[in-house]
Amino acid sequence: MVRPSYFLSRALDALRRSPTVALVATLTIFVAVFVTGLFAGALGGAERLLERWAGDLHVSVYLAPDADLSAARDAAARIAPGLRLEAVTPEVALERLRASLGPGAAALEGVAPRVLPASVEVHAPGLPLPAVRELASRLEAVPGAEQVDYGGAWVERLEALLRRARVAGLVLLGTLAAATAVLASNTLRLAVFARRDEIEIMKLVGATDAFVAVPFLLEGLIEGLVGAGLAVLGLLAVQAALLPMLGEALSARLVRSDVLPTPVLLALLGGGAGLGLVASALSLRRFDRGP
Amino acid sequence: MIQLFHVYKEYAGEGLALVDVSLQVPKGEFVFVTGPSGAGKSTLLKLVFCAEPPSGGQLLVFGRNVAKLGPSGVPFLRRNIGVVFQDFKLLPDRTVAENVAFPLEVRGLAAAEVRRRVTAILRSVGLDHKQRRFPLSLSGGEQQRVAVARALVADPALLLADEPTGNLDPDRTLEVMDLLEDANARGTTVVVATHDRSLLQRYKKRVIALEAGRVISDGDSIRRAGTS
Repeated sequence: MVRPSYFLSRALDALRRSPTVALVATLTIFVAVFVTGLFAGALGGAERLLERWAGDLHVSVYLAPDADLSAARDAAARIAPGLRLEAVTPEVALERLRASLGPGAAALEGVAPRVLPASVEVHAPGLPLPAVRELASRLEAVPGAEQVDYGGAWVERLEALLRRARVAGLVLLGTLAAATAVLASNTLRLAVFARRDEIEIMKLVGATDAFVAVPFLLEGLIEGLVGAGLAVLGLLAVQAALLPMLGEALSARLVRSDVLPTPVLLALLGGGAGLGLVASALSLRRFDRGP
Repeated sequence: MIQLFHVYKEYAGEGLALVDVSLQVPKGEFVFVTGPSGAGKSTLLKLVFCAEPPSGGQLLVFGRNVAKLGPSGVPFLRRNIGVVFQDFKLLPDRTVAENVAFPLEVRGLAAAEVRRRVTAILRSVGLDHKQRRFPLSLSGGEQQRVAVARALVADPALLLADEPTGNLDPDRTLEVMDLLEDANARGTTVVVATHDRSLLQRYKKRVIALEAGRVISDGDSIRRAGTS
């Protein structure tokens, strides 16, 4: 029985003997995993940002001019128990509008408060988007409610965009993985070809196909792990550099520190190792190993 | 040890390399297979170590029909066969010891046992002091002795040598042939393919002569040399 350490030492020896081939294969896997990680990070980050924005949303129930604000507030409280509610009179609404316009508030000079409708605002911090949507639908039953708004139009547009990006991303990742496997297998095939004499002699002295193949597979696995490991380090560096900038541009509260969470990083590492293994298997399958 | 019954070998587009070959090599025998280039000597050896399948007839090695062996059985059959080639087939980027160690590593022997047996076999061919050298730094005769050491290190029951002295001068030829004779004296069956008639005359062994893929004579070397 051949010991696993023997195969490992042969794989490491082969890497030492063909550093260029090993470097090219490792770089190929590095690029594939890095690009995949960037895409996964951007998509995942955008999704989480969307969730947080949705969680910050409040649902506004705009009332008809003759509606009873107090009764509407009570009805809303029954529909959304436990959530913070706020009855906003037209005066308060105008005041808020003035505050939000800043220097442009002068344009509101002479505008009567009754121009703006009274409303009940239901705050739903941390509530996921589908739940907010469902709450808004239920709040339509508030007596005197004329319009219920949670800023859903743009959130839904963004959500649709992310859905499309997710599908495109999966297609892209599949294509990238296949292209990398073929590219890396062609590179590793050079390694197999360079060692055809060794393979021939191994087989002449009674080596089984598995005995010949295992070191090559280990070689691919090591190259995959190293390439993916470097890519993960690169992605962490990019994350560390970009997050503070994003925090400034958006809101520090909205930007999480782990755009690429540990499970995703581990998946990238495993994916890279798997790519190396598949590439090695392909290179061996294509190689005419002879009698 | 080796039994051929009406064996044919045909290469696509090249015609028949072996035609109706029937012969037997008993255990412990030393046999020369001779004939001009293209007579089928190398093909015969390739069939015996399963590098090629026969196109027809029956070939038994160690009593096993190689046609029924299947790809997974070939490596285990080969572990009982040592092979020596004219061009040595040594790996230039491996040391002498590493080249000789291959058959033992394939069998999964422990590193210490591999080292012990490699040193012993290299001592027997007079090269134990060159274990760490690379093949290309050795003379042709030394390289062939390394190849013989590799073929014998796992104590095979059968040793096949395809023109083992074809690239050697007369003195180195005798050194290598003596090694093969020593192995035969220790019980290994030896089959040597050669077109060197001086070897047939010097070593009084059984000679199987091939021509155009057919066995044209099968007897002792004195008779064979007398007909040439």
